[in-house]
Amino acid sequence: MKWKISEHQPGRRRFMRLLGRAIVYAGAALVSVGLMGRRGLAAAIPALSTTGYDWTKHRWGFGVDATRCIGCLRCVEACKTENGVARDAHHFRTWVERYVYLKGEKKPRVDSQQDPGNITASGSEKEYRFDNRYQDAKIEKAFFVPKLCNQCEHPPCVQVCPVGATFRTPDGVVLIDHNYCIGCQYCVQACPYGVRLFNHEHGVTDKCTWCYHRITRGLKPACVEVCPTNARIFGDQNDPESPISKFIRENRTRVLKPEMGTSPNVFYVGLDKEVM
Amino acid sequence: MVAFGAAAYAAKVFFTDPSFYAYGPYRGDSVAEIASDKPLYKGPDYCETCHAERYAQWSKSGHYRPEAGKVVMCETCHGPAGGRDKRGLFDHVASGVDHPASGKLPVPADTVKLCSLCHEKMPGRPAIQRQIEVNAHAGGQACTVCHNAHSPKIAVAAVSKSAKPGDVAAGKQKAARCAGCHGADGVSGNPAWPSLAGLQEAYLVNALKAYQTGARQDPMMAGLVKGLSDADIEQLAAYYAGLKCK
Amino acid sequence: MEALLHAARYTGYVYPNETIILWGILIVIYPYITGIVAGSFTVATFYHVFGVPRFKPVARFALLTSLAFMIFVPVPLLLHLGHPERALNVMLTPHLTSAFAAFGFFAAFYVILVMLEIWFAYREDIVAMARDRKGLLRQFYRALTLGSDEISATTRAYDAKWLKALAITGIVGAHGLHGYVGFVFGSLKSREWWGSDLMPAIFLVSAIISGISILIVLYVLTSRFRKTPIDGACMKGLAYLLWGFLIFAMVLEFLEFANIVYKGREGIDTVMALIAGPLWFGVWVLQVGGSVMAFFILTYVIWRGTQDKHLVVGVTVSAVLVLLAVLAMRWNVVIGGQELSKTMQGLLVYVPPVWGREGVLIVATIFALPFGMLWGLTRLFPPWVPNQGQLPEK
Repeated sequence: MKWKISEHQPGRRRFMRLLGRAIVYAGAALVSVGLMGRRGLAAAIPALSTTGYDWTKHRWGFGVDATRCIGCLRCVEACKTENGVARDAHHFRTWVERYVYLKGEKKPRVDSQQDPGNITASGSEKEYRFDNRYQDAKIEKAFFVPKLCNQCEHPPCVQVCPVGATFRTPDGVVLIDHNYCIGCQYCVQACPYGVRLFNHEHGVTDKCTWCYHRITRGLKPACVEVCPTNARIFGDQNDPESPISKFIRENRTRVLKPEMGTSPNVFYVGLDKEVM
Repeated sequence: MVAFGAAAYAAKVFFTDPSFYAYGPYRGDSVAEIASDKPLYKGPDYCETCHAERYAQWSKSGHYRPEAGKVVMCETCHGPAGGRDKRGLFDHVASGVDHPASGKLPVPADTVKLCSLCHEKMPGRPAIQRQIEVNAHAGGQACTVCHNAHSPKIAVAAVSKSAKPGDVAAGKQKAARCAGCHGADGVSGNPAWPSLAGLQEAYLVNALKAYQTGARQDPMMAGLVKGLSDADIEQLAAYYAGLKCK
Repeated sequence: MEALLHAARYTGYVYPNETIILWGILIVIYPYITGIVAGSFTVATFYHVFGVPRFKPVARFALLTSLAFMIFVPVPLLLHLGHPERALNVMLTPHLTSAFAAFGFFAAFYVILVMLEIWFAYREDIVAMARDRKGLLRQFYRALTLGSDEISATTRAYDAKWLKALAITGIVGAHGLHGYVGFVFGSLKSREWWGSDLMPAIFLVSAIISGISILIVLYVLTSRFRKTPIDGACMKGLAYLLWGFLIFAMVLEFLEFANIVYKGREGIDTVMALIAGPLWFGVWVLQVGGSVMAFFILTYVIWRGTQDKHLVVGVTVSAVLVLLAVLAMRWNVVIGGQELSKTMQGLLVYVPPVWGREGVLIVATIFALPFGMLWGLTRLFPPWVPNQGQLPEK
């Protein structure tokens, strides 16, 4: 094959023939793919077709009443048990923060389950409790705030996933495909709330799914189930009589970091200006 | 270059999972996989099927007040009733053996540790939550010395293990050996030993049990309660509770 | 695996999931390497596209440098992934809203392009070596000639045209390859330290200066090794290039930082605590100090018209300072961004492990390997004619 630039005529004709054939093959490939196409938004998830769960009919929502939370951390335990989260102090699908304003201080002191004092109080990194370091202190104000994935309407984590391993379902939950995730951890960096974590054992990212395997069966998420004080509320926003619809209707709710534009679906009552 | 592009696209189609793009830019099969995991927590209604008595007791107690939004369910303290095969959740496991087939659920041993998770007096806990200073409360004894976790309020005397008719009479018989110190009618003549007449039934049961386990220490009582069965204790308690105090 | 998890120490409050810093020094070295790829290609472009004659001595060498580092670009990424065997998922089903998805395509496109460009730049030498060498190497060069061993005025013109076209396309390729990294960080709203409109530009310009600097250092070292004189005009040209782009980089970085400070959003105290605390050495000494020092040395050298040995020393020292400054900048962005908690009320401290996948030893090896590859490439494709230090016609 010569690279001469003279004697165009035969070369050009050959080239055009080659081009023509290439276009035909490419066209055929594209058409066949196009025919496969999208199957459209299936109403039922095949595996749950027997239960008749239709994900287009629900719009799940979560409520947190921070005025009721007593910081017992049964939710943290239950979540780790139900979802097989690593039993240490660095991987949480949900956690509870304690805010304490001491008298005379303008800023609250905040701690959570990774605090060494709390780890000592619970006995190990496998168990969870708050220590009572403030029992003799002069307290201005103190409260607990549970945190979990906000299942945002416009999730930045979904936006940045390079392979499409995380996605939002029509019923409002952001899920992770653990068999497709490549473990780049970009989504963990992108979440403004710090709710995504990397599971080092499996090399994939993980996060709270509102116990998707439970809610699609008509159960409540594990944390909601075990909470003894009704600080966590769950329900279908499409049903006006569901606990969450009532919660939103009867309270002045707010969300975390609204300025981020993520439109979270976890609605808080009882937050304070310093809750981050 | 066009041929290369076509080949690349064909490769993409060939290697990509067929369920990809089914519902969006992700693998459609993963939704079913994620939803197929077996739930572990079953809820109190599942426990009721076998533990109806306990359920009945609990559902009348302070640990079940749904109108106030306070429900401490069984699995919160005993752990989940459901079992999942011991593979990580990332394998999306749909099978497993549940309780009772999987064995007994743990009964928490260190009750101070467990109960104080909710009931330790701590800044930040709303006042409506009943809280105690753990070390100053009953000398730091195990909570179950006085409280029944399934019916924690002590004042409610009706809530003890099923008191059967005939208990009082049987108790009276067994109480003969107690009269020596505690008096014939449960009224003690000696300040060294307390009167028992009219004391709450549940309290007496707990106290006798505490002597048995050693949670309450007394060298004389320890020896005396050794041979008592649960039924004996119930009967003695029923008898003394019914006596008039002076 | 669990034993190698290091939970970072922290002050203030951080979210529990943040206590393990995920993007470590592997992700610091990755933009450093791609930066060198982009930067050295830019120098080659100044000769091949803009036809600046004084860069001839380093032009072909710059292309080899670009390729040598390019080959090792995927290594830190693959080592970092939780599932490297699924890495091709990015090419199979790229999620088009993600900056990361661009990587596979830019990388593939660029590596082929730079190989093609090297082929065109070296074609005459390949033909000559196919004729002169013996044994296995001869077969290698013969295969590379792709069946054409014609050297004439027509082919020279043809080669030159292709070279120019590839070099122009290569600008897009190389700069896209590194620019997207800036976008990876700059587009995130979750971290104040990262989210900035200027981030892609900052990354790109600092990439260019790192590329220029490494060429300066390598050119001086290889000339010493080959015992050939260093071309003064080339050195001066590189000094000008470095000086110009360095000013650009310093201005952009200053603007970005000034913006953060001036806007003083919530959490600004923690930002200031970050650069006064865990990051002070990397920011003030290495990045700012190094850049400013390099700027002053270069200004002096250019203004005073320094020649010969003093020129070489001055420019080389500046180049080394810039290399350190750019490495520090990568660290400050990647690690610093994660040390500043998303709560904006806490700071963590990252201590890189020595062993393990994200360890210092692995990273040092990854950075050393391209130099070995470069040495091999210069043996296969000598950028300078072996005898008399003469430059080839190209």
